Parts: sequence; structure tokens; C-alpha cells
Amino acid sequence: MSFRDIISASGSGASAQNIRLNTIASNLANADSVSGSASETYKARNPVFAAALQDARDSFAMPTPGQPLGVRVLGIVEDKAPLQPEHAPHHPLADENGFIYRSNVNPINEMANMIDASRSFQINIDMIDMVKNLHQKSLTMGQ
Amino acid sequence: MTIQNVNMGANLQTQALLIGTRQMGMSAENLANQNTPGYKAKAIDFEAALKNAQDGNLQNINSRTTNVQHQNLNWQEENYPLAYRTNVQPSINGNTVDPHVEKAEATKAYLDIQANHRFYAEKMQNLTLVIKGKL
Repeated sequence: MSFRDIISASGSGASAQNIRLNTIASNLANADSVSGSASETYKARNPVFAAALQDARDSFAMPTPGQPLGVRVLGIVEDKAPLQPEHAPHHPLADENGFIYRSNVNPINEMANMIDASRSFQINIDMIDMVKNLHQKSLTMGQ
Repeated sequence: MTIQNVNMGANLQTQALLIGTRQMGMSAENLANQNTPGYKAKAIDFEAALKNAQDGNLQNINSRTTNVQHQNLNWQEENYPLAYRTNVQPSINGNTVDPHVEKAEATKAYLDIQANHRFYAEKMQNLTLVIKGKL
């Protein structure tokens, strides 16, 4: 494991947190979205994280140089929480029964998630900074 | 100080640098996975490594080289066993990474590497003085 591999591992972490922040921004922007049918309503989105090479890492094997380390985003899934139907017969988007559907985004959850994502992002960037300093010191060693 | 002594010291320094780098790497990986469900934080088991060294159980495994001109640094993975970190607080998704512990470990490794750089550089400076013959 070289400095370059460490930087890529931390980079994958920062990138994953960036994707998480992106979904949170999208969720918050759509927190008040309404729609006339349950299937068309915006549902909260969340990324799914997995360790890169989790199976291989369980054996505690030494990673070979250039092997992808860190975290990867498996995909983005929609929240399965039930939508909130609201009786609003005069709403322009209301269905034939007079219902509109509000998205299942919970702004409080999203804010807490946002703070966690932002802290995690910072800590990954700090790590890159430390490794960068060491790398530079190694390059000037003996001068 | 003979050249051989310098070489031996340099070898020791190289080992120490490799351990520090490996430790930083483990912390970076743990930190990257601090939100991964079920991920178990890993670390170098120094106690087991020290015991290996004291019992004379050091393995001689050549490091991976991709070119004939690469020098063998004698990094022996088996001499530095890894272990799972024990977590302070259980989490609901089974993740055992504590960001603060990892940050502290990474900082320790950072300082160790810096100290080793310094020792190495000073050793080389001393050698240069001796070669030039002026003090």
C-alpha cells in the first residue's frame, strides 16, 4: 500500500460522501413536491455504500499496488416509507378522488444526514492532506 | 560508523516507514468506510507483531516487484498481523469504525513517519559530513 493508494482510498470516501450530499440536496429540494398519483410522487433517495473488495479484505490479505480500496457506491435506492395522501379536491393536481400525494422526504432526517455526510467528507479530505504532506516530505528527503 | 551500519540503520528506518504507511492506509480505508453498513474497522496488531519479532518467528517473504531493478525492501506481511478494532459504541448498522479513533491513529502514524524521515535525513547528513571529511 503506497501513498497513492491511500489517497485513492480517501478519495473514494470523499466521492461517496459527495454523492450522498447530492441525494440529500435533491431530497430537500423535493421535500414539498406533490403529485396526483402515488407512483409519480418523488420518493426520498439514498445511496448504498459497500467496502470495495469486502470479500477479499476479510482475509486480511495485503492489497496489491493499484488495487481499488476504500468505498464504492452500489447504487441509489428509493425510500420505501409510505407517502402521505392529502384530501385537497381543489388542488390542480388532485386525482379523481380529490387526493394529492406528498413525498416521503423527512427534512429533519435529511438535515442530520447532511451534517454527518459533511463531517465524513471533511475527515476524508483531512486524510488526503496529511498523506500529501508526507509524500512531499518523502520527495525532499535528504536534500 | 561503517557503511554496513548505515545500511542496517536505513533498513530499519525503511521498515518503520512501511509500517507507518500501512497504518495510515488502514485508517484511510476505515475512514472511507465509516458509513458502510456492516464494515469492520481493521488495524495492525502491533502486540502480535512484536511477539513475532521477539520469538524470532520472522518470515522471509520477498516483496512484490514488477521490474528486475526494483530493490527488495523485505516487507513481510506475515510479520505484521492485522486484527479488527474493538469498537467503543455499538452501532445499529454493524459498522465498527470510530472516526475519532481512526483520526487519532492516522495522526500518530503521520508523526511516526515524520520522525523516521527526520532520522533518515540526519543519518544521511552525517554520512555526507564524514565523506567530505569536514565537521
